[in-house]
Amino acid sequence: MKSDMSDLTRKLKPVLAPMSKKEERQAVKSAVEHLIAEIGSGHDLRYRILGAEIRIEKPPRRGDVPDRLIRVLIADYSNQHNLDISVNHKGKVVQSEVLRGLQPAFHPDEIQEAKEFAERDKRVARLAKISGSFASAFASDLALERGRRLVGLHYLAVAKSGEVKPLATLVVDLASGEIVNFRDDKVEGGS
Amino acid sequence: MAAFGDFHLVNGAGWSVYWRILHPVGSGLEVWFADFHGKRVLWRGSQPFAIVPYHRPVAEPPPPEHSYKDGINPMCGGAPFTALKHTAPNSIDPWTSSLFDAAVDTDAVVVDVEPATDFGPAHLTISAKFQCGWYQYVHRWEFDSDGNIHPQVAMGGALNPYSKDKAHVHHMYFRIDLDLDGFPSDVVEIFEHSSFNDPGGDKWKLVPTQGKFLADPATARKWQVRDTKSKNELGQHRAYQIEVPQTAGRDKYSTGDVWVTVYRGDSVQQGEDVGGDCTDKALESVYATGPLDTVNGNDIVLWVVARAHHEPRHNGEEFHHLPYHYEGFSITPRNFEVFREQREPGRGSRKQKPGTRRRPL
Repeated sequence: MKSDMSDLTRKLKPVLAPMSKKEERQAVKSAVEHLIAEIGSGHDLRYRILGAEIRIEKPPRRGDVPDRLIRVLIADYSNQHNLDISVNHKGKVVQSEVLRGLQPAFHPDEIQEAKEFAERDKRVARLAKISGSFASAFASDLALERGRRLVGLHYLAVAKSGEVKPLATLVVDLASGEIVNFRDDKVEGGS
Repeated sequence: MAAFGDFHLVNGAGWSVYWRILHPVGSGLEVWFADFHGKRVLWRGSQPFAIVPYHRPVAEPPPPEHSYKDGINPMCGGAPFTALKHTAPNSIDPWTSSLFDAAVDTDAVVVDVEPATDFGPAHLTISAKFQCGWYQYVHRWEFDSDGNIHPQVAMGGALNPYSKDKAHVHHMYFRIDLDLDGFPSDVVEIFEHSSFNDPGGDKWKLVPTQGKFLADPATARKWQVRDTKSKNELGQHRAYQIEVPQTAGRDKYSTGDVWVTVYRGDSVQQGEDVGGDCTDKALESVYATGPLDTVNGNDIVLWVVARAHHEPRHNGEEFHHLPYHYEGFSITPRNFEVFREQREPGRGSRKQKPGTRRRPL
């Protein structure tokens, strides 16, 4: 059957190949080495890899084949910012910048960690034990003000009737492990 | 192969298209390198964020704006899009449990190739569903054998548990990077129907600068991206048109219908920096700024809003869950190719057969 793919796209096929485990490992390793070199090895560094992904940008001229880069996003809790680092196929860092004012989506491990921090607080621990309770993450505006990695959590519970009842809304600072804002929804917002 | 972020090639209805879900949490369904009959049409299409203001008083979204920014880099109390298994039910259950989260991107996506019928063309459809707070959003891209593209979004899931009766508006933002037979030589034109008296009843005007534009059904307003170099067999410049049938209006949070901008990269200006004030104003003040080259063209990127005002049926049909409600728009070819001879509209597609039409991944 005749392909409907354009010649422009056919030339891109090698660039669009799936990311291999080896390629991902190499990119993450290079990005972390770059981060440590920037900060200094003596610094007490606490960070998390948020993800590694294939990065394609249009080439300067029509018909050229773009470079295949791997983009690594890192949450640097020690310095309270997020880093966007691009690595080429040789493992060389070709671009590195701080994501000022931007908060990439929370990593599932960050949400889990935020819940663990939150449930050290007696008020939240009590809510987490309610039958049918669950937590849902959201983006707190405090993160923009403070430039920190802050995870918003709505605690709610599913009643036997199937109805969902709000319990509390809170914000956890992943750098300090503290709850920085707490709202009792049973009092204020619950329906 | 990565769990998320790889490019997946699919074919059908005369189209060759890659799809991608960049992250399990934080990105939606993207289509890349969409080619029709061997010619590039779209570099990339996505629906990266939504602005959702609520009637007030309401506890959620939080004050002072009571307007969520959902999707990429959520703000104002909003939530990211989380990829669900395509079998996840349309109910509140996928919100309350991670059981329905997609472990790999192919868990989330369904590709349908349907043949032409007596009532329409063949089409290739790529769909995925995402959890976003208590809501579910379906991202769907339909590519027809007549060259049309239909980006769509559906809203489902459950009502706001903090206030089930509160009406709100979903402003869903699409980023459309058309590359007609390659880039960067496209101009944008805007269409107005002013009377039935020709010549001049209908007019196309070149757009000289980037900016924000408003839909206007009274003048049948539409937009066209036209390549200044690539021509069809009759020497006509290839083009694609965008028509936006709005079913809800603009407001102080969603201030336009179409923004004409230029490509500045695939890792920037994806909507991540829009919504800090719980509005879309950064599209106009940051993205859509600067002149356009009306002779040689630019590498044009359009932002388009599809929207729906939702008046909840909280004691009736939406008590348990929200039936999926679809909104979208059309991207239509003009002079992209010449159909001189009558031919089967679904070239490259299967013949119609009775029974199931679904082609699983």
